[in-house]
This record gives sequence, C-alpha cells and structure tokens, in this order.
Amino acid sequence: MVLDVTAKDDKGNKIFSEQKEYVQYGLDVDGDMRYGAWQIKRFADTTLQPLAVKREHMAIPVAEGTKTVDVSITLKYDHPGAKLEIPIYSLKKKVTFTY
Amino acid sequence: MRYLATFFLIAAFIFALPLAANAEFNTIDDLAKAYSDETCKGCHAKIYDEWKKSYHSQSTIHSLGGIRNFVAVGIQKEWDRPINKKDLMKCFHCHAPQLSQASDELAVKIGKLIVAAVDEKDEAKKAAAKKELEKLNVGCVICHNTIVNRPAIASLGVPEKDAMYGPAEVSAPHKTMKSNIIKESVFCGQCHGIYNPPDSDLIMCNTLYDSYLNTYTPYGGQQTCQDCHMKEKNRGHTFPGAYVADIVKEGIEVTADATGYKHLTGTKWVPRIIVTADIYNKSGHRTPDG
Ligand code: HEC
Ligand code: HEC
Ligand code: HEC
Ligand code: HEC
Ligand code: HEC
Repeated sequence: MVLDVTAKDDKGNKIFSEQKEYVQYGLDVDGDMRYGAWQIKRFADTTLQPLAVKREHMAIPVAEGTKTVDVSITLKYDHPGAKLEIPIYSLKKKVTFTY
Repeated sequence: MRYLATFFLIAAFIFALPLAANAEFNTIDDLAKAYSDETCKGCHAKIYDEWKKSYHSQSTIHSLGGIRNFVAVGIQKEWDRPINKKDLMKCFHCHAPQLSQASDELAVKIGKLIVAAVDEKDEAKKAAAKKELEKLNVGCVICHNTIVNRPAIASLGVPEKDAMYGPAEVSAPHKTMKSNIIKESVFCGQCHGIYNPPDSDLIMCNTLYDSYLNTYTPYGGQQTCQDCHMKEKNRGHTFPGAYVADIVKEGIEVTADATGYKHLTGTKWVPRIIVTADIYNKSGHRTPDG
C-alpha cells in the first residue's frame, strides 16, 4: 500500500514527490529478505495497524514567486504480481500564494 | 411409492456423501472424489457458486509459484531431501489439507506435478499438470468436517465421519452437527496465522491471525473474521480480501489536506505547503498482509 504525495508548480514542473510504503518484508535468520514461507522467521514491518491511525506529515518547499501549486495525495493498494491496483483515496488541491 | 423413492434417494445420498476419514488414497481422482464439492452443489448451489469464486477454491494453483519454489528450492536444494509428504504438508496443512490422506507415493507424485506445472517446457503437459492440481483446494468438506475441530481437537475430538458441521441446529437430508468453533476467529486463524509443523519448524506464510489476536482485540475490536468477511453485506462464501476493491476501501479511512503558508527564514518569507494524511485501518488486522 502506497501513499503518494506529488506537487507541481504553476508551470507544470514537479517540485515535490514522496512515497510512503506500508508493507511487510519477510526476513530469514540472517536478516536477509526472502519470499519463501519456509525461510521467513521475522519481518521488517511498516504495515498499518488495526484500529490505529497512522499520521503522515510532510513539508513541501516552494520557490519564491510561485503563485499556485497543485498538490495530489493518493493512497492505493497495489498487487504488482497480479497487475492490479486498487485506488483507495485521492485528493487534488490547488494551493495559492499571494505576494 | 413416491415417498419410498424419496427415501431411497436420500438414503443413497447419505451413503454417497464424500469422506473417508481414515482412508489413504493412491490417485488424485480418488482423493478429489472423497472431498467432492460437486456433491454439495446440487442442494447448496448459491454457496457453491460463491465458493467457486473465492481463493479457497484455488488454494493450490493461486499459490503455485511459491509452492513450486518450496519443492524445487526449499526441499530439494536447500534441505537436500527428496520430495516427501511430511515436508509437503508444511504448506498443504493449509493450502489443501486433504493431502494428509494421500499415500506417500501419491504425495511425491503431486510434488512433481507442482514443479511440472511451472517448469515444464511442453505447454500441453504443463497445462495438464495444472489441471490436476486444481483438484486440490480448501473445499466444503475440509471446512465443514475435516479441520473444523482442529484448533480444539483435544476437547472436541475428531469430527464424526459423514456429518456436516455448521453454525446452526438444522434438519437436513444429511447428518449435521451444530458447531460453535466454526463461528470463531480461531477456526480461520488455524490457516491464517503462524504454523508449527510437527517437526518444530516455523512456517510464516501469513501472520494475519496473530495481528488480529495481539493488536485488534486488545485495542477493543470485537468482530470475528466471519462477521466482516462472511456476514457483512451478505458476502457469504466469496471470502473477499486484498483483491476486491469493495472490502479494501471499506477497511481504510483517509483524511488528508494541504495548506500553504509563508515561512520566515532569516528576514525573508518563503512559500511552503504542509501536507497531513491520517490513515485509519478499520479492518481486523494489519494491512496489508504479506
Ligand atoms: C498456516 C497455514 C499456511 C501454511 C502452513 C502455508 N500457507 Fe501459504 N497461505 C496461507 C494463506 C491463508 C494464504 C492467503 C493469505 C493472504 O492472502 O493474506 C497463503 C498465501 C500464500 C501465497 C500467496 C498467494 C498470493 O496471494 O499470491 C503463497 C505463494 C503461499 N501461500 C505459499 C506457501 C508455501 C510455499 C508454504 C509452505 C512452505 C505455505 N504457503 C504454507 C496459509 C498457509
Ligand atoms: C474456508 C472454510 C469454508 C469453506 C471452504 C466452506 N464453508 Fe460453509 N461455512 C463456513 C463458515 C465459517 C460458516 C459459518 C458462518 C457463520 O455463520 O458464522 C459456513 C456456513 C455454511 C452453511 C450454513 C449457513 C449458510 O451460509 O447458509 C452452509 C449450508 C455451508 N456453509 C455450506 C458450504 C458448502 C456447500 C461449501 C462448499 C461449496 C462450503 N460451505 C465451503 C466455512 C466454510
Ligand atoms: C440433498 C440435498 C443436500 C446435499 C447434496 C447437501 N446438503 Fe447440506 N444441507 C441440505 C439442507 C436442506 C440443509 C438444511 C438447510 C440449510 O442449512 O441449508 C443442509 C445443511 C447443511 C449444513 C448445516 C448448515 C447450518 O446452518 O448449520 C452444512 C454445513 C451443510 N449442509 C454442508 C453440506 C456439504 C459440505 C455438502 C456436500 C458434501 C452438502 N451439505 C450436501 C441439503 C443438502
Ligand atoms: C484450511 C485452511 C483455511 C481455513 C480454515 C480458512 N482459510 Fe482462508 N485461505 C486459505 C488459503 C490457503 C488461502 C489462499 C489461497 C490462495 O490465494 O492461494 C485463503 C484465502 C483467504 C482469503 C483471500 C485472501 C486475499 O488476499 O484475497 C480470505 C479473505 C480468507 N481466506 C478468509 C478466511 C476466513 C474469514 C476464514 C474463516 C471463516 C478462512 N479464510 C478459513 C486457507 C484457509
Ligand atoms: C473489522 C472487520 C474485519 C475483521 C474482524 C477481519 N477482517 Fe480480514 N479484512 C478486512 C478488510 C476491510 C480487509 C481489506 C483490507 C486489507 O487488505 O486489510 C481484510 C483483508 C483480509 C485478508 C487479505 C489481506 C491481505 O492484505 O492480503 C485476509 C486473508 C483476511 N482479511 C482474513 C481475515 C481473518 C482470517 C480474520 C480473522 C482472524 C479477519 N480477516 C478479520 C476486515 C476484517
């Protein structure tokens, strides 16, 4: 599951892009990432916990003089193996600055 | 006369119900027949159709690549052992528990089919192997008899042969037993959590039940797996999960915003945007799993 935050300035240039990945990677006894159920003995785990809120904060620096910035925030569940992507959330917002 | 005919029909059905609890099978077809879901289809058509769409009906072939790796890499290369039933059960305990009733020879044959269904160069042979493996799944009889008492086997005992264990007290043309455990999360948890095979190894295919048990319930969660995955929206036996948009969206609530302001650096104001996103997991366990 990936949270994607992207911002574009008034000229359409991408000025910010950051992804947060919520995922569980299986690790073997040597701490190496593995896919096999028989090899996995622990996890590197950034998954979303039940009944809990995960709060993400980001600060986007904007060049002086920029009048508008288009911010896009999306969350999706992707299954690369099955070539399937489930969009869960999407927000597009125009932020305006006056000088 | 008609009454008598019905009686014989029912009697014939009772004896035709699949299941041979202690039998050992030498062919995939005999094993599949003993667990035939087709027998149930005639009377439980809607449930059958739902189940057919679920991943439970494809629980070997949908995980084929991973199981092939276990056989070809895990058992044969890393452990340097010939294909054998005991090791195969480390996956099939959950992916198709009926394998426990295969003879040693049949289990080895199935192990080889699994490798062939992925590696075979001859497309016809590859397809044929896959077709055979489709017969191994988590079917009606598995859940309603074979494994129903597994998590409390010492107190509930081995299920009665030919009886279908269900959530209610009903009268049916076949023997039924009211089961409490089938309504419990632990019933699902036996296959959706960490597994300790008899040799003390630890198989971590998925750990979702562990998350349910150790995080969801301590934080006050009260619903069972069956509540969310079967009863909610009459999902029945379709068992939707991570591949079904409807339930995936139901499990996550997002509140997000982006606000601009001018930040003071030294003596200059520079524009800046603050983004916040609150992601609330409303499901009964960690998301995603695996
Ligand atoms: C304790 C029960 C259990 C055992 C033992 C088990 N699995 Fe699984 N496996 C599952 C369940 C349940 C799922 C589905 C979980 C999900 O989708 O969240 C699954 C999913 C998988 C998948 C992924 C399917 C997909 O979604 O693409 C693979 C591959 C797999 N198992 C391979 C194996 C192998 C190989 C073994 C043996 C070494 C094994 N499993 C042992 C229960 C088990
Ligand atoms: C993965 C396990 C599983 C499989 C596979 C499964 N069931 Fe069920 N079934 C359940 C559970 C759990 C319940 C009880 C749900 C509840 O009410 O708590 C149930 C309920 C039922 C009921 C009674 C309630 C109702 O929905 O009408 C019938 C009849 C039934 N199943 C038949 C079948 C048939 C026929 C098949 C095969 C086509 C099948 N089941 C496959 C787990 C399973
Ligand atoms: C000749 C028709 C017929 C066949 C074939 C049949 N059933 Fe049933 N079954 C019924 C009827 C009728 C009931 C009672 C009403 C109900 O729950 O649907 C019932 C009830 C059940 C129940 C109990 C439901 C509960 O609410 O507790 C289960 C479990 C069940 N059947 C499973 C199966 C399975 C598994 C098969 C195949 C191996 C099967 N049945 C084959 C007619 C049949
Ligand atoms: C006998 C073992 C077994 C039992 C019992 C069992 N499952 Fe499963 N379940 C599996 C396996 C194996 C898979 C994965 C099949 C595959 O994708 O290859 C699976 C898949 C699923 C999926 C689909 C996962 C996805 O990512 O789409 C859901 C949802 C699910 N099970 C829920 C349940 C619930 C709820 C119960 C209890 C009523 C239950 N299961 C009982 C073995 C089991
Ligand atoms: C409060 C409702 C709720 C409860 C309780 C619940 N689930 Fe889920 N489950 C969901 C939702 C919503 C999703 C879809 C979002 C996701 O993937 O986690 C889901 C997803 C899943 C998946 C697919 C996970 C993945 O990412 O591959 C499986 C398998 C599953 N559940 C099995 C179970 C089992 C087994 C139990 C009981 C131990 C259970 N669920 C309890 C709501 C619930």
